[in-house]
Formats: sequence, structure tokens, C-alpha cells
Amino acid sequence: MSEPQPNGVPLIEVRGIQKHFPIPRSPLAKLLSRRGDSIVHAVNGVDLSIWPGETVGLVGESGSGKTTLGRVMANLYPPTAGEVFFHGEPVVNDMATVKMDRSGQPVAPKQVPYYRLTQVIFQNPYSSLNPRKTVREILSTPLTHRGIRSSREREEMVRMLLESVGLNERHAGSYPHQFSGGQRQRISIARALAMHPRFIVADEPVSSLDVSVQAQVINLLERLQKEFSLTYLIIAHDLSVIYYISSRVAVMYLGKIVETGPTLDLFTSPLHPYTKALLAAIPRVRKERRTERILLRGDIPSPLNPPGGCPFHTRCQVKVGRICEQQMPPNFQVGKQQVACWLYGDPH
Amino acid sequence: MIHTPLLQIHNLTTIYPSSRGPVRAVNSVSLTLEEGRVLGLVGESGCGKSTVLLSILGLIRPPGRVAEGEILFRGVDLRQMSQGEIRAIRGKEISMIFQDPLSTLNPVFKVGEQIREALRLHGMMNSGRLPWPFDRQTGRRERERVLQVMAEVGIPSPDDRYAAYPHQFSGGMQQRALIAIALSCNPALLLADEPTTALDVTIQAQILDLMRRINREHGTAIILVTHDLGVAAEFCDSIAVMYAGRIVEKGSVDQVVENPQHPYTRGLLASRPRITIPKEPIAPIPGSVPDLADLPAGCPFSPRCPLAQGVCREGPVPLFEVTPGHTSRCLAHNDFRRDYDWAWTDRIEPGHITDIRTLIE
Ligand SMILES: Nc1ncnc2c1ncn2[C@@H]1O[C@H](COP(=O)(O)OP(=O)(O)OP(=O)(O)O)[C@@H](O)[C@H]1O
Ligand SMILES: Nc1ncnc2c1ncn2[C@@H]1O[C@H](COP(=O)(O)OP(=O)(O)O)[C@@H](O)[C@H]1O
Ligand code: SF4
Ligand code: SF4
Ligand SMILES: [Mg+2]
Ligand SMILES: [Mg+2]
Repeated sequence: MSEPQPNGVPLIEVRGIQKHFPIPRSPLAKLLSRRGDSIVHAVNGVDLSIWPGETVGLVGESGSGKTTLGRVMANLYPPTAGEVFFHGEPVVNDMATVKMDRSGQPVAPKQVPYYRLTQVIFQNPYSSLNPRKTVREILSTPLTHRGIRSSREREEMVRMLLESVGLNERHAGSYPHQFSGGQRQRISIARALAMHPRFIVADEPVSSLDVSVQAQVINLLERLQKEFSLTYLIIAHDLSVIYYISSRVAVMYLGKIVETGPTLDLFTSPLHPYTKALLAAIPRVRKERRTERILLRGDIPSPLNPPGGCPFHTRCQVKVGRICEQQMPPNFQVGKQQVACWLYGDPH
Repeated sequence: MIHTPLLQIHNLTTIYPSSRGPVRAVNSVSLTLEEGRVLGLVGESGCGKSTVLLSILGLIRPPGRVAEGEILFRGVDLRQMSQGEIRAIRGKEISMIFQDPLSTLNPVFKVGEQIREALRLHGMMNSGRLPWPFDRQTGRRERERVLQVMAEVGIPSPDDRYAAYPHQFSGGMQQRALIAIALSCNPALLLADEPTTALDVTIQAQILDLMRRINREHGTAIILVTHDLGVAAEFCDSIAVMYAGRIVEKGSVDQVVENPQHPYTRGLLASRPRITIPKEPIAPIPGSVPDLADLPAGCPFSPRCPLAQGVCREGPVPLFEVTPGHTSRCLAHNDFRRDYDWAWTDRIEPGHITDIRTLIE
């Protein structure tokens, strides 16, 4: 996709984000263990900036907290700790301060509800569309929210939205179950576009689709980004999809971002031991590439009880020493990459 | 002596009735697998891959039925066998790993006990004594054996996990437990239905590695069903590509991946994002997989095929041998003018993923 330079004021920035989910325990269990509810540390201290026009790819194993982080960035979950900024100003009471237009020109600051600026395309196109509403109704709701009152105008916009995602007017009267997975994902995308947002979080937008249809949806997202000047956070576990679609990549492990960098740098010279293991696990088609490789042992630890120090230390094969178990490494800048690993910094 | 392959399937056809008419989920499929080899069955969802495996094991539930064909295992047709005979083979010589691990493991029994049960069932625990818990000696020995098997498939600290229930295992560990159970009979043939699809790449790599080790160390032949050509290319000796119930291309991994012939195989490769420098555009296959109850006449790929011509929509398409051992079911190989337009996929270099490690060095 386009390769804008991350400079100037980020469109969205999050600082120190934590999101913890309490898991209620039975009163008896509480009494016996003399402890309260257990807590899932789904996101555990994340800083991330996304600049206008970028596509940031968020990767990591299942349960690492990608969806949760994406939802916090889209303001669907209130964070347990940390702040969300839009155009450099904190989002307060779900209101953001817009200071630039879509082309990056400064405009008079204006308060806008945050939900009008960010939209989410959900992981599962089967459950995220209301089965009892027609496509027309699904797309009209956000248009009404935007204040488009004339039904003639809404009808015209529904037609345009359907066309921009490769469907057409004929589909407006149908219900979600009458569509294939790929078409449903197009409808989800059209619904997100209907709000005319600046920022879209797409959570695994293609992973439930057939390979041949995945490519159609990826190309569609790419085209719409140009057409509507969109900024994307794309969550995917398929590294070839991430490589293809992202201008920058963030690697998540157990609630923390362990490495970020421009896609090419990160893929050609991964720094964090976890990023290296992740890339080494990609299946290779070409014969001479199909060689033995280093495998990551064991499973991701439970976010109920994350290990202290570096979250990766229980599986890391190149630990520098005790410090890995004792102290969380900060982010070190190496070239254009940022990496949270003691291999790249002086611990003292 | 005449050579008998481990498994030979001739013209297998399996039909599920549906309200819109019969679904030929598997349509005249032929396959051969030699001892100790690994075959990849590749294709998008709904093209009949699982049905092939279930047909081999005689597990198609009525009203679905195997309508036609021979399934020769060591030269003997499984379809002619009695239920008892086929059950004996299913337990001893052929094992299957199903698509969804949680639905196969019994949620109310401890994982260790389920593995122990499988080992007992397959006579891997023969001691001639009363079963545990009546005899402590045997009980201990059986437990040792289970722990050994759990360790072999890479379940960490088996001692602690013996008494865990399936839901306390992660997806990767459930899959390992299933593999342990499937291997408990030391089968000659392992049927693995998308064993890694639900898993993360790093866990997927571990499981594939485990299956590769089993193949090498025990000489177990494997049919691996996957929708990921990358996984198939990395893991298998040969590949069969399925579309709408038929095998459309078949050959060694090198033939199919380095020199794909069928437009569908080419389309699959072209629509897969590749890690190359510079980035190469992807070319989607237009449209989507057809409804098997309502297939177009002639070549089932014709509505999506950029090469389709009038003849493609007429009759059934025969299989062409492109080079020895490499077949493709497409009229373009024979009936078309020689200069037909391959342009849409021509930019695909053989080999599709650049090795990241060579880029690093
Ligand atoms: N509402 C919730 N209540 C309790 N725990 C939750 C909730 N949402 C997420 N979690 C837990 O938080 C952790 C992170 O979950 P999240 O869905 O963000 O992961 P993910 O990286 O998106 O995984 P996947 O790749 O499987 O989608 C997991 O352990 C999950 O079980
Ligand atoms: N038990 C069943 N009853 C009816 N139709 C089925 C059944 N199982 C599979 N099918 C149909 O058969 C076709 C092939 O399915 P399947 O073998 O599961 O494909 P794959 O494993 O390649 O995804 C699909 O059209 C599917 O809907
Ligand atoms: S900080 Fe230590 S344990 Fe963590 S990734 Fe780096 S070397 Fe490994
Ligand atoms: S037979 Fe015709 S429609 Fe079918 S794959 Fe070949 S060229 Fe395409
Ligand atoms: Mg998720
Ligand atoms: Mg299947």
C-alpha cells in the first residue's frame, strides 16, 4: 500500500494503554484462596501512533490482545489505563478534536464524536451483520447517524456505497444470509464507509474467506484507502497478508507491543527474538527454501498470569540474563525500528 | 511380483442428497499413495476434501453415500469389506485427525485417560493382567507409557497434564493430544484433515514438524488436507488440487508448484500474497466457489476462468498428462490455439515466497 512517512502529528495515538478483564470467581473460591477475582491482562501497557494515510499491520499469536487493542483504539472499550489521542489532543467524553482535513491541511479545530471518525470491520462477517435487516437498512443506519435525513439522498448513497465495494443496487433488498462470505465482508466494509470515517480498524478482514476471495477483499481495501483517504489498523495473523497490505507493522505478544517498524525493515531484519520466530514459521512454497528452521517451543503463557520481566522470557532462546526475568525491557530505537528487548540496550 | 501401492482410489464418487438436488461432493476422484509418502489434498472450502477422507474410512453418514469407485488399501477394496473388517483397519492401519480438535476429544474425560484408552484399544498395553485400577503395577506401567507418548508429541510437562481436561489445553496442545491418539495404533496411513488451520503460524510449524518426524521415523504415509498451498508445498511429496469435487491438477510438489498448469492452481498461487522484494500485486480469481448442487455444464471452473472458451461449457473435461506424472484437467492444454493468453498469471515466477532468512543475510 502507500508508504507515507510517519511524521507530523499522528492521526491516532495511544499511550500506556492497559485493558484488563476481571474473571469473576465464585464466592467460595474467593474465600478459599483469600483472593479476589482473577484478571486477564489482555493489553498490558501499549504505546502506538498511527499517522494519516498509513496502514499499520498488527500481528501476533491468538490471545495476544490484538482485537482488544483494536477495540480500545476504536473507542469500543474504555481502557483500564492510558489515553487515546486524535490529532494530538486527548479524546475526552468520546469527543475528538479535528484539526486537519483529509488532505492534511490545517482547519479550525472542531469537536466531533469519536465514533464518526473511527469504524471497525469485525473479525467475523457472519455474526457482525444483523440477520433481520436488509442491506439497505444496514447501510442506512450510519447515514442517519451522520444526519442525512432525506431518504432520496440516503438511497443514492446506499447505491454508491454498494458500487464502491463491488456490489450493486440489486443487492440492497437482500438479507445477509443470502450472501457469500466474501460478499458479506464487502457489506461490512460498506457499512464502515457509510460513516465516512478517517480511521478504520479491520480485525482479521480476510481470514474467514477462501484464498481466492481474500485477494479480492485485500485489493478492495487498498483501493478504498486511496479513494476515501483512509488510515488503517489491520489485524491479521497471516504474515503474507500483513506484508502485502501494511506500510508499518506492530508485533504483539502477551498484551505488549514488542517490535514496530516499516514493513520492509521489519521483514528483512527482524530484531525481536519473537518476531524472528514468527517469520521463520511462515510456510515456504519454493523448493530450496523448504529447509529446516528454528521452531518456537511451547505455547504463549496465560494472560491471567503473565510472567514478570520480558513477557517472552519463558520461550526465548537467546536470553541475555536474569534481567529478562526481572525487568520489562523499554523500547529501544534501532534504525527505523523500535524493539522492546534487552539485547538492544544497555540495561543500566 | 506386482507392485501394490499402499492406497489406490479409482473413480471415487460420493453424493449427499440435498433439497436442491444431489451434491456430488466427490466426483470421480482417483489417487495413488505409496508407502511412507505424503500427499497434499488442496482446495478451497466445500470442494470435497474432507469427504474424500471420510469416504476412505467408510464414515460417510447416510443419506450421504459412496456411489461409485474402488478404494484399494494394500490391494484390497475397503468398500467390499464388512463393517467389522473395516473397523479393524480403521483402528489399526489407518488413523484420522479431524478438522476440529475439541469436537473429537471427549470433554468429560481427562486427556491422559483418553490416550490410555486409545493405547489399550489398540493392544499397545498388552500385559495379560487385570486392567488398572485392579493391578497397581500395570496401572503404573500404563501411565508411564502414556506419559512417554505425550512427551513424544511434545506436550510439555506431561506429568502435570495427564489429569487435565481438553478445555484446559490450548488449541495446539489439543491437536497434539489428537495426534497422540491417532498414532497410538502405529498406523501405516494417517489422514489429517486441516490439522493446523485453526492454529497460529508458530504452533502450525510445530505440528507440521511433529508430523514430519512421525513420517520419517515410523514410515507413516500421510494424506494432508489443507487449503494452504504453502503448507502443502512445504510438507508434501505430491499435491492434488481439488475444485468442485474433482481433482483438477496432480503431480509432484515441484511440478504443481513450480510449474502450475491448471488455471485454478495458477489462480490460487496468484491470489496468495507473497513476501517478495519488491512487493508484487496479487491477482484475485473473480467470483466465488460454485454451488455443488448447481454446477455449470462442462468445466466447473469456466464461470471464473479467464481462459474459458465455448468448448469449455460443453462436455466433461478430460485429464491431460502435461509431463509424466503431472496431469491437469483443462482443455487449454489440447483444444485451444497454442497462443492462448496466459498473460493474467504470467508474472508469477516459479516459487512464490522469498525466503526471509536469505534477505536477512
Ligand atoms: N470480554 C472479555 N472478557 C474476558 N477476557 C477477554 C475478553 N476479551 C478478550 N479477553 C481475553 O484477553 C486476551 C486477548 O484477547 P484478544 O481477543 O484481544 O486476542 P487476539 O490477539 O485478538 O486473539 P485472536 O488472534 O485469537 O483473535 C485473551 O486471553 C482473551 O481470552
Ligand atoms: N454431511 C453432509 N451432508 C450434506 N452435504 C455435505 C455434508 N458434508 C459435506 N457436504 C457438502 O459437500 C461438499 C464438500 O464438503 P467437504 O468435503 O466438507 O469439503 P472441504 O473439506 O473441501 O471443505 C460441500 O458442498 C458441503 O456442503
Ligand atoms: S528481553 Fe530477554 S527474554 Fe525478552 S526477548 Fe529479549 S533477550 Fe529474550
Ligand atoms: S477447461 Fe476451459 S474453463 Fe476449464 S479451466 Fe480449462 S480453460 Fe478454463
Ligand atoms: Mg482477535
Ligand atoms: Mg473440510
